[in-house]
Amino acid sequence: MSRDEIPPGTLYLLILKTLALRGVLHGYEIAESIQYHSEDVEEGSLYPALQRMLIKGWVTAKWGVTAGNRRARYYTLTADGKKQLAIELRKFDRVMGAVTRVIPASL
Amino acid sequence: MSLPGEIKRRIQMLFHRNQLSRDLEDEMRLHLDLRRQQQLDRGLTESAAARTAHLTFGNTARIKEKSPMTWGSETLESFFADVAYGTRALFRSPALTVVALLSLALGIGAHAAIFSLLDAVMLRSLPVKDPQQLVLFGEGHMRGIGDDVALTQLFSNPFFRQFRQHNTVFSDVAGIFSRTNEVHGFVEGDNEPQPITAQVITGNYFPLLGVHAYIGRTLIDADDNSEGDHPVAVVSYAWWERGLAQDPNVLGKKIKARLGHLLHRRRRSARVLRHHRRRSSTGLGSPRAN
Repeated sequence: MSRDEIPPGTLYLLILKTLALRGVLHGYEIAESIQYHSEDVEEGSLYPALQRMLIKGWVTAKWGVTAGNRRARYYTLTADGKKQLAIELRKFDRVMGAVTRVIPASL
Repeated sequence: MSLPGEIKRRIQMLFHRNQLSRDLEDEMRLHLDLRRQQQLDRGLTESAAARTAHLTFGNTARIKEKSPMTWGSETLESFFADVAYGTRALFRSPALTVVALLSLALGIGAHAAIFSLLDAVMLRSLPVKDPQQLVLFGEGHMRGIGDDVALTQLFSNPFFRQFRQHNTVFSDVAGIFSRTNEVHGFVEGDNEPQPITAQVITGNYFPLLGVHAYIGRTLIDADDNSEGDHPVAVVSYAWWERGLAQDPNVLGKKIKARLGHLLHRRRRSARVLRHHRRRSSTGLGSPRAN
C-alpha cells in the first residue's frame, strides 16, 4: 500500500490555518486538528514542514509541558506567518480553480 | 523579504545541529506516544496500538532525512565519501595516477617559474626609492654605442651634462647603460678569470635611486668629476654572493677587467642593484669618468 504524501504547499496551508484558528499548539495537536485520522497520509511529514516554517520565520516555537506532564514544543503563528497564510490561500484557490474548471464538480 | 532572518536561522541551525536533532527525536517520540495512547484508549491491544501509531506516523528515519537540518551535513558527508572513493580509484590504477601527477607537476612548476621570473622582472617595482617617479629616456637597449644618425635613445656625454645643468623638471638625471659589457676579469687573489657584467654609470646613479651599500659605500658624484682618477666600482650583491663567495674583505680588492684599466673594487650595494631588465645581470658598476 503506497501512501499519499501531502504536497508541501498544501501542508503549509493546513498548518498555518490550524494555528491561525487554534492559537498555540504542539505537533500532535496540530496533527489532530488537521484530522490525520486516515492511515493513508503520513503524519510524520508534519515535523520537517514545521522545521522549514521555523526557518522561514512563519512560526515560532517554545518548549512547554503538556497536560500529561510531557515536554513538548509549542508552535505559534508569527506576523509573517499570517501573511503567508493569505498567500497560500490565494495559491490554493488558483490551483483548485484551475482543476475544477477542467473537472467539473458534479462529475 | 525576511531573507536575512532566514539565513541567520539556517546558520544557527548548522551550529546547533546535534541539539536540534535530539529535540526533533523528542518531539517525534511524544507524538508516537500520544498516538499510541489514543489507540489504547480506543480499545486496541498494546502491540496493535503501537503498530497503528507507527503506521500513521510514517517512517521515522526517512522523515528525519527530509528535515532541513540534514541538508547541510548530507552534502558535506557525501562530498567526503566521494573524495574517499576517488582516492581509492586512483590507487587502483597507479600508472595512470603517476602520469597524471607528473603532467600536473610539470605544468604547475613551469607556470610558477615563469610567473616568478616575470614577477621579478616586470611586475615588481624596482627596489629603489620612489620607483613610480623614475623615468627612463628611451628603452635602454643601446649600451652606449650607436652608429645611426638621429638616434633618439642614445645620449652623448655633452648632451647629458647640458641636460643636467639646465634641468628644471627632474630631481636629478643619471646616465646608465654607457657601455654594458660582458667581460672576463681577474679578481685580485684569483688565478681564474671570472665572467663579469660591467656597466658604466654616472656618479649620481646611486644617490639618485636612494640605494645604499651593503658594505662600504656606493658611488657618488665626486667619483665622477675627473678623468681617470677614480678607479672604483660597485659590486652587486648577487655577484658578491656567487662570484666572490661573500668575501668580507672584498673592499679594496683590485679587479682587472677589459674595460681597459685596473679597478679598485669598492663596496657592494645591497642586493638591490638589480637591472630592471635582467635579474642581477650587472655585476659591476663603474663611474663614467674612468
